[in-house]
Amino acid sequence: MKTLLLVDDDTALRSQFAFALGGNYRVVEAGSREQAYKIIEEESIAIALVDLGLPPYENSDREGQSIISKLLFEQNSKVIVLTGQDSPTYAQELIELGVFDYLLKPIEIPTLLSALQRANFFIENEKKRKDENIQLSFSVDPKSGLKASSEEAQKQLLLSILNKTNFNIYQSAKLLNSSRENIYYFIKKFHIERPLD
Amino acid sequence: MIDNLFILFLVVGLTSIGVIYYFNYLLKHVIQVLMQLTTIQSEKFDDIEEFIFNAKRILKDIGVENILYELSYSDKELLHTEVSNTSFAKVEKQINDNLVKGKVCLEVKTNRGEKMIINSIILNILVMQILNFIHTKIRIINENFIQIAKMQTYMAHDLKNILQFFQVMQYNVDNIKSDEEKSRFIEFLQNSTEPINQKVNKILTILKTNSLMTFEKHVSKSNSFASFFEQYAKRYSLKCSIEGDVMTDINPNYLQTIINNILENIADKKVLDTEIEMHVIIEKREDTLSIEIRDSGTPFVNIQKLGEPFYTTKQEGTGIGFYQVYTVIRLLNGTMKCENRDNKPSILITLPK
Repeated sequence: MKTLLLVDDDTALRSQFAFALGGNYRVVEAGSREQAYKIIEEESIAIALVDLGLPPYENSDREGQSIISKLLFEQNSKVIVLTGQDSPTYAQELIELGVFDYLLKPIEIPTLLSALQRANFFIENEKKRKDENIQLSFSVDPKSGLKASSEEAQKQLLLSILNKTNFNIYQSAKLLNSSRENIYYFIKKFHIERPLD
Repeated sequence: MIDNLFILFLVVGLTSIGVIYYFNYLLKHVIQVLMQLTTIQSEKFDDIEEFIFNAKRILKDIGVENILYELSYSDKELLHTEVSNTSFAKVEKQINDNLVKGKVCLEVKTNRGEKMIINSIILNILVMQILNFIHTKIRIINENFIQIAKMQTYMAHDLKNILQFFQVMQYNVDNIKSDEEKSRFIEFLQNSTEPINQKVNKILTILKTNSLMTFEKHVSKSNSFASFFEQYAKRYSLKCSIEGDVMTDINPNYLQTIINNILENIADKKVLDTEIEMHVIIEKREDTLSIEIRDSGTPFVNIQKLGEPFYTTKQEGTGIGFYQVYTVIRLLNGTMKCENRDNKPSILITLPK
């Protein structure tokens, strides 16, 4: 069972979230930056649900942002922000920092659950790629837009699979759970050429 | 020659004394007027319109006339200018609208000659006072706006959290599928915050009281009313005298609920080391049992509200005790009447035999 860190200064609300998510995750709770730091140092956090406004700065993202930075740089956790602060600046800054999702309170629980499910899916896939020894690394600039970032990610993934299968189209399609036609299409689209032996 | 010099010294001396007395008189006058203005300002601090009205009256009494000051303020600066007589009509209207419209006007006429300087001093001080007055008011308004904005942000934050709390709670309640989950959910609520814990406990107590209704009425063992009273009087250190007794086959849980709650309530009236005495009369009548409980404590307040759930007169009371007593007595088809006799509380319980 994955560990989910729940950071919110509202104890009653935190407790209800813990009950709702307790069936699928091992939930650990923190009500302040200090508590969250302690947990991050002691536990391995897969997913974190973080409120931005924490005491003593309830009306800024200061405390939440420092927790998020620690989670992203020390644990590579999937961080979902759940906050009442609907500031586009905060959202943009945090997405650039690398948060997985930015959700606003009050949120319907099924919406939150699907965000968690997506985070889970990403964790599983990353693990799978790691187990299959497929090293996937790419550098994208989120400021250049979602489409450009997504295409760069697709290109790098395809390249790594093709290298692993020694440019065997059939095996690559199977690994990517896709068709051969699709693989040819992307090879052409991204101008990928087989390296000379 | 000496005589002439003497007369000259005498005239100069007398003139000097006259001048000193005159300035002394003027100074006293200024101080008096300023004192009056200060008194008005401190009394009418919140109402600049009334302050100006009174100030004008005083200035008129001392003969200050014929000067018109117009004070105007905006979000950037505060100005005061002397304006011409031709603006009088326009300014008169503005006086009535003052502050709200962003302008305060002071219309006075001044005489010429000896009092001009002194009146000018008074007027300038008055204008300064009004300027200070408006500055203070603007500062207070600005500070209040900042506080309101802060409060609004906090309230919005709390409101979103409350809405979120109810949404998650509703989701949790909808998804409870077993008794085990129900108990776990209650445990979560109890462990979350102290106020929620208290509310949950109250609700659980009410549910428990109502569930007493499902108890079987048949109890094989008979109990003595008097023994129950003795037992609980001892527990709460009450001096208790009992007259009569009746054996009853009413469920002992019911008796405990009734007697425990009533005696606990009496014991709570103790202040410091004062001893409360109580007297219980238990009688067997034709078709009923009657129990009368009197005590030497403070009389009942709001008798009609006794027995309502959550009604309490105690600072740390839950308002559950008497509600439980009423519920159990109603369940047994009995009645309970609370009253103050000779300013002392008395409870009369009647139960079917």
